[in-house]
Amino acid sequence: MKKQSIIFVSIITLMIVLSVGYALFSNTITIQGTATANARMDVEFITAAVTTEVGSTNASAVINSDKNVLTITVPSLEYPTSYAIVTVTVTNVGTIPVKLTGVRTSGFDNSDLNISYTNLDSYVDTTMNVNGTHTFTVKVEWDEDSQAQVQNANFNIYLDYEQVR
Amino acid sequence: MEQEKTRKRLYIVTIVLLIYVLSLSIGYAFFSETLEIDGVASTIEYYDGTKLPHTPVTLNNKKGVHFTSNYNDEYSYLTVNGTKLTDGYYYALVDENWNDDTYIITFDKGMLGAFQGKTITYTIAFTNPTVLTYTDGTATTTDGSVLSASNAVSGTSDFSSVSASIDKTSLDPNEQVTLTLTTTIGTIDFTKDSIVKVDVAYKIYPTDNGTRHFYFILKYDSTIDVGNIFDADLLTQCSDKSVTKVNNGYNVTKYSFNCNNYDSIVSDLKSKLEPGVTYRLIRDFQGTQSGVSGSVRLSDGSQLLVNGPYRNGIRHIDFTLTQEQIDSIARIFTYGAQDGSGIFTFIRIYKISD
Repeated sequence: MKKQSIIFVSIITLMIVLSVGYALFSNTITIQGTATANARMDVEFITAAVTTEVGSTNASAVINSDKNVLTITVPSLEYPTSYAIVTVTVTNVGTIPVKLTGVRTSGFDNSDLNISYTNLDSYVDTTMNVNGTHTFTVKVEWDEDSQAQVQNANFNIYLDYEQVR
Repeated sequence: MEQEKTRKRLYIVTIVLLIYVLSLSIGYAFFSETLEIDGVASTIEYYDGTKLPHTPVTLNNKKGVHFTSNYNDEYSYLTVNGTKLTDGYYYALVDENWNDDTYIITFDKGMLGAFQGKTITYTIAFTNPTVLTYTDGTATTTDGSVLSASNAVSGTSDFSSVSASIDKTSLDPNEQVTLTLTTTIGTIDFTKDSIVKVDVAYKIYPTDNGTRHFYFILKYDSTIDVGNIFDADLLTQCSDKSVTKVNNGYNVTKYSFNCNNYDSIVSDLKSKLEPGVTYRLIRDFQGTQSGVSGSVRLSDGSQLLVNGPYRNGIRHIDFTLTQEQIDSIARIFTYGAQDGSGIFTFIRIYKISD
């Protein structure tokens, strides 16, 4: 009984101390007003285009209607070392600054097809203000040493954004 | 009882504390979003062991064809004001087609008639469009001999010799190679087509899954009279009635045979001739020789406007007429053999320059 009481009292005391720590000095000022919270976070693909094709034909980059999914298709790599490059621009169309917290990938481990990107790593943990942009490229290349006659690969790149604290 | 109450109080406090702590963390990570890129890539069987990647080069911008030939420079027999006419081969060209791994040039075989015993070259070029190096280049020829519609005729060839060469056995990316095909015309069989095929082969470094090929085919078509304006079949309809069509041509059953102004062949030819344009009249004649056997001539009734060559074999003459001369054509003479054995394998008139 005593022990439990001691614990109970300790917890209460801790909570009070925490609150008190923030409010040791206080003074109450009354401000009357009305505030509406409409902060919105929205990052979108704004442009995506196939900017280079060498030994490749009919590559495409299509942004979906929600502008948060980009589909890259490279259907005809003709010989080892052939490649296609897609240039992508992401923009902050929300009302608060954001930052890229991480880049996740899958399908990058194909031994015949090399998938790579540039610039993205430099954006990690940097702030993208409202209307700001991030531009980077994605390259799909048939590996020089590949002996494969026909090869298919699926890959994904995930860009994780958060609001800036 | 007291203990139970205390336990409950502790439990409630803990829950409240937890909610308080959680609400703090939620407040700091409320907005986040993930953009997704989905990709799919595929290689194709470009290197299937036969096709050589290449980009065609147009060598004759004037006529918009890919090839050039010495035919126009060396063997143009016609001169106008002392200047040889060029691109004469163009008027005998039926088709050129550069598709996938094969380039085919097709000519009216009649043009060969002027070149028996002569050596004609054809030149084409292409570039290496890849980022890889081509090595061990070769060019080998296959003489298709003389081909019938379905069978090759062994032991007979229109070409006494054929050869091909490339000026680069190694080809770097974007580099151009020139292929030259050299043919010497032999004894021509105008009743059949003839084909020469060049196989250009390279290895590709570093992938080198085998040798890749490109094919250049030169074809002389015996069935097409490109631009021929002389309808030899109409000879059989002339009022003189001395020409009959036979399996291997037209048999002129007497020495001198005339088609006159009222015969359709005369008006037909006059309607097609253009003033100031240069034409080639070419024919192949076989028969017992006498006088001007084998000659084909155009006359205005009193003088010759075109005096075609005589004697056996393939012979030709080039001519240009004014409108007045065209309008005055009144007679077409064809000279056979005295014994009625003379046969024209063909008689053609076609444009060789504008």
